[in-house]
Amino acid sequence: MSLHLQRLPDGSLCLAGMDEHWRHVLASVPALLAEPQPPAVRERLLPTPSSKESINRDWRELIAPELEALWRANHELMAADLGRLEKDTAHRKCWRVVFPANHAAAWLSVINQARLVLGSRWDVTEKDMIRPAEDLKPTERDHDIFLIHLLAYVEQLFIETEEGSNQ
Amino acid sequence: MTKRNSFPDILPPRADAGGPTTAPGVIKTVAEETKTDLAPPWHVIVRNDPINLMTYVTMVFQKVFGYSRQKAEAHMMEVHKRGLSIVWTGGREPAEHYVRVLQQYHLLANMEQAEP
Repeated sequence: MSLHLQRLPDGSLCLAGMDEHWRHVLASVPALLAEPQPPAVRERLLPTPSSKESINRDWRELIAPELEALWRANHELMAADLGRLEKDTAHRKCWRVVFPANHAAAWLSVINQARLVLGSRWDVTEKDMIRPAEDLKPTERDHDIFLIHLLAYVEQLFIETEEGSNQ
Repeated sequence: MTKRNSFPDILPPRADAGGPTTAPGVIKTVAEETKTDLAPPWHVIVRNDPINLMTYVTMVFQKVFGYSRQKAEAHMMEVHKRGLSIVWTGGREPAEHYVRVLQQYHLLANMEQAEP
């Protein structure tokens, strides 16, 4: 049974086929984003918008706090959904979570942000991203690169669901 | 970008929104009009990063700009291969709006004024 995202007859979404490993991966996401972020991560999430200082100043004062508040709301939404994990009755070793379809955008945002946070924390490059899994070493950095790939799998499930709902 | 290894729906600003308005009794001079018309436009630029998925970037371009799949993919590939793509060009206010929305989606976006 693999992790999958499906639309239920009532329109809500169900992330199912979640074994203990996946459960641990997803549970780590809100915690990761709740940590104070180093400057490199902040700079990646809120890059300088222009070479004009007047625009940048307004940005820091008005737009950046607005974006951070929006992202925080997304984190809280996903964390609350994850708090409703339940045993999958069809697959006893797995878990599932059901949430309204309009939470999907928040999930996608949070998962993508978690990948970016891990990537900027370790200064991950394109070269790192194409390394075969068997070349990864038992280091904290490579662990997090592996986590970026795992979360990419989940992110792709949400992208495909989003594309499906637009067709 | 890598291949595959709340959001509120965001609408682009209305074409008729944010334009110059004239208070009653104020006569706009030709010189002011000319100055506005000749101001160089702003480019909205998206730069490459190693983490965002190609499928994600394509989806964001479709959502934010209403681009067709083909056009969104063309911009995404330009970002991937050239390191950046000018995804939109126009007035300053809409450019600020687009940069804000693209950053909300975690793309590396900024704006630069075109050369006069």
